[in-house]
Amino acid sequence: MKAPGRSAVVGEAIAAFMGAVLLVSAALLLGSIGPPAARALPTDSASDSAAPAATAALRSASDVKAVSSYTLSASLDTDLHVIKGEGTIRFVNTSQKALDRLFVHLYLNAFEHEHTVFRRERSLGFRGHDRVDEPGDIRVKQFRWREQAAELWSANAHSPGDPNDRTDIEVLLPRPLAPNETMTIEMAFESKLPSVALRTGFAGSFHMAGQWFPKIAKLEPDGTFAHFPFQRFSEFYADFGDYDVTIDVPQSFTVGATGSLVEERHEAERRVVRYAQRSVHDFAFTAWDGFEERTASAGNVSLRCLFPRGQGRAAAIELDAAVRGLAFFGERYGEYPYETLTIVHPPDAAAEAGGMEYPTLITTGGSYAQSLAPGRVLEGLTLHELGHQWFYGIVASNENASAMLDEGLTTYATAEAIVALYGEDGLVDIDPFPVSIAAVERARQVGYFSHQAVAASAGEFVSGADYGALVYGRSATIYRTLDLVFDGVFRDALADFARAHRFGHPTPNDLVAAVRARGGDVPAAALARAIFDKGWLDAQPLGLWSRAMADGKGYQGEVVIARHGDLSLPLVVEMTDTEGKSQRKTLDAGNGAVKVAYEGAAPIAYVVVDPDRAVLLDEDKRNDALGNQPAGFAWRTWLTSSLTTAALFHATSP
Amino acid sequence: MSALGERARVLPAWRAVVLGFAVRLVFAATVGLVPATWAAESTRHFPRGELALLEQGGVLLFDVLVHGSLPYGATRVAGALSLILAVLALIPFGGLVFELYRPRGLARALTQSIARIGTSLLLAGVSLLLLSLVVIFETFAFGPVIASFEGTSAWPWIIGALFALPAPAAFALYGDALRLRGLLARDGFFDRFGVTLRLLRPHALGCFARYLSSAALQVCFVGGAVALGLAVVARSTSVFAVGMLGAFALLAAASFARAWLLAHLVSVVLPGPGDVEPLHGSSDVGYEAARSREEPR
Repeated sequence: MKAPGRSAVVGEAIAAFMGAVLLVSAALLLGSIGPPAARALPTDSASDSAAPAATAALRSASDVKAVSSYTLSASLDTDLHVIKGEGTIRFVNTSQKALDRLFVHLYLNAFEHEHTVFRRERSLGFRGHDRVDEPGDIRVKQFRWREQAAELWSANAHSPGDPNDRTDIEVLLPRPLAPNETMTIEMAFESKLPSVALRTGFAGSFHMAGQWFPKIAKLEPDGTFAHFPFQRFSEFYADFGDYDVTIDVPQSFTVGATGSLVEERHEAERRVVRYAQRSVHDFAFTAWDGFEERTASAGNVSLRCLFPRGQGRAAAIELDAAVRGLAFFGERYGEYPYETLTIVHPPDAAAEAGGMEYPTLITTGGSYAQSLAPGRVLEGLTLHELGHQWFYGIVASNENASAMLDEGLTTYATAEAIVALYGEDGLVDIDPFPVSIAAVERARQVGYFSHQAVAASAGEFVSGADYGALVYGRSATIYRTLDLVFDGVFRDALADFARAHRFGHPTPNDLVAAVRARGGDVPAAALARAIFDKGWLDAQPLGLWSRAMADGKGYQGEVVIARHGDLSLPLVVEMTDTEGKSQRKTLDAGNGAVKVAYEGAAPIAYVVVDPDRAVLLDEDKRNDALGNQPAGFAWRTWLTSSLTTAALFHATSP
Repeated sequence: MSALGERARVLPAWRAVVLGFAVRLVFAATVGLVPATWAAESTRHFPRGELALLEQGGVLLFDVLVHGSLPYGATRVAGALSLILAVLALIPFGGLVFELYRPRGLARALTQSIARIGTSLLLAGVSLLLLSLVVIFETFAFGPVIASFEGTSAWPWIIGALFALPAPAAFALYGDALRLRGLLARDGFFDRFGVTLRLLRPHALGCFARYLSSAALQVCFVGGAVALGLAVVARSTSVFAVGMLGAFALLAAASFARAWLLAHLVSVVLPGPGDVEPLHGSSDVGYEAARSREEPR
């Protein structure tokens, strides 16, 4: 689901910038890291009920079995912000059991009053407004099983166990739907878009229509539905299907939507457009009379960016990032399977509609100033939403149950893309400040490990801050730690995972299996511990000593390392003598305190655990070193800070 | 006029300016102690000391920031010293204002002094904000341009410095106008701003040199910080030494240029003994007196 969002990316950029400016010390750490070398396709991976265990060739969109397909007509009243819709759902029971009910999501009802599940939750450190100026809802006029000639909808339906919420509706069937049987549902509905508070809605004449139609919940292989109310932190999980949607809007409005434009005509001062897309699991569209448009292409993919007047530079940046990102993600995680990608840059008044992902359509955002900023805010946001085309779109995990697969993997993949495309410190594009994305992500999650398991469901997180820190920051930090400690094992495993579960619905266990297949039990166990059990560690040197050998040919001694926590990872220990000469030893994965022997030509002076700072999961890096010759005054920092302060004085009172 | 007022007038202005500049540097160095102490304390057990903060993309730096660990004892001492120096830096201005208004009674003088200082501080704050916005805008606006210069680390900074020159020069002009206004002890801002600008007009060349040097000095400060940063990472003592030498050379040159020009301006503005009492009251006597002294030149 939603972005770390523009605000989070901005926040990360600002945090990175401010952290660096604090010392105003600089380094030229440029030099882009080239794109990753092409890798052979994986031959071993975890199994998934909806994906082949091994893939010699990538699945294409045409190979995917449609479960829930929608043919809809939508007429947008841009004054009342109402969509009048009708059409059919073709639903196939792909489970092993006969179905006696369906679950239908009416997610716009989350905005109908302040007692819904969504409105009862608070952002508390995450994006989104808590206030909704104008409510929104979906009113179902018809929901009829065509083959049975039976109306299925009952008035006053509400979410199971929650009369105040009408976003998750159980629909009983007059007779069971047998395995492999297809049903056609004829429906008519009226959707009132809310004012933009989060993700979907309107602002002035701008409309972002997400979750705007009645949608069948994800059918699991065991015949149950993965259904859940619309929540502040999650909304996505659905079956793949084919979408064919005709939208009509006033003549002056420009429409952007999921899929390819297959027809456009004009009728009575209305613009009628028809979009179609195979093998996606959602459909969103935008309509506004203020859009300007730019296009680009990347291989077989046509890119289209819709943006407000005056944001041409931002659009150019976003298109460029998307073109680069399609190549990077395609090579790393399997080719983008669709022919179009639409980028929507909402107007400032609808900023909360930005930073979202829908199949073949992403929303970005940001001001003109951000398009000029040295921090790659727009690139980062664009790449993040584009990354979701894989980790949400193509690898369609359950965002509600396992957000760490959706946002966590996307955050990791975004950082990989930024590093590959713009350099290790590519998020903040100020040459002298060597701020790495890994450092920013790590900083975001420090202190949160004990609050919740990373693999918790979205509803379990006690605050938006926890959700952001654990799902985005800690997930990515876990994955990157595995890469740094086990020589890129997660990078390779994720590439396997993405290919094996292309157009599938994997679980966290599948990810652990992919890591095990690539790196063995130690990294897999570490991953499982870290995501399921709030695993943590904090390595710390407790003591060091050395004395002259009896033969006078050197010194020997010991250092003592404490490994707090229940997460076991190999650790490098660096011992430096009084002459400045260093030696390293590697501790196998384990817990508890351990002694490490020292032998050198001079007495030991310092010991540093994890000198390369590869174990980003180490909860406290400040205690990673111990010396018996503590460093003196920080004269570089003093001079730098003094000069900067003098510059400020001079500037303000010349 | 009081004894202090006499001394203020008799004391060669360039000495006062140099003294003020020295105080400012001492203050800056004291402020610099706070992060320096913090950095030293945070990294005292690391073999590379403060350099560890910037290694691996700033992981340790962020950790220290996130954990919010400050060496409170040393930081408090340094902070207190900074505060004392800041107050000391305001004393000459406050004293001048106090002396100018003393004939009207202590209470009123204090009130007016505080009001005037408050206004000055407010204006100084506004100027800081504006300068920050200008710098941010320039950074943002020219960041992509600078980034397009590849292959060398020097050119981006040179170009950035050129772009950065106008802003500090403009604020130097503003600062001088504010300072002269303070000397004239006038109420109101916009009407008297024009008066001070007229005072500066006959010295256009000197002003140009002074403002350019002021801008260069600021760029020099920032450049010194950048050079230091480069030295930190490159661990090149020679790079650091060159950067510092250049910085202090420019600093010295600019100090003398500033002292000369301001001493001249102050001598023009401030009346000598025997002149009419010019510096309080609502008339334009002070301005007239000043102009009468400059007209023969």
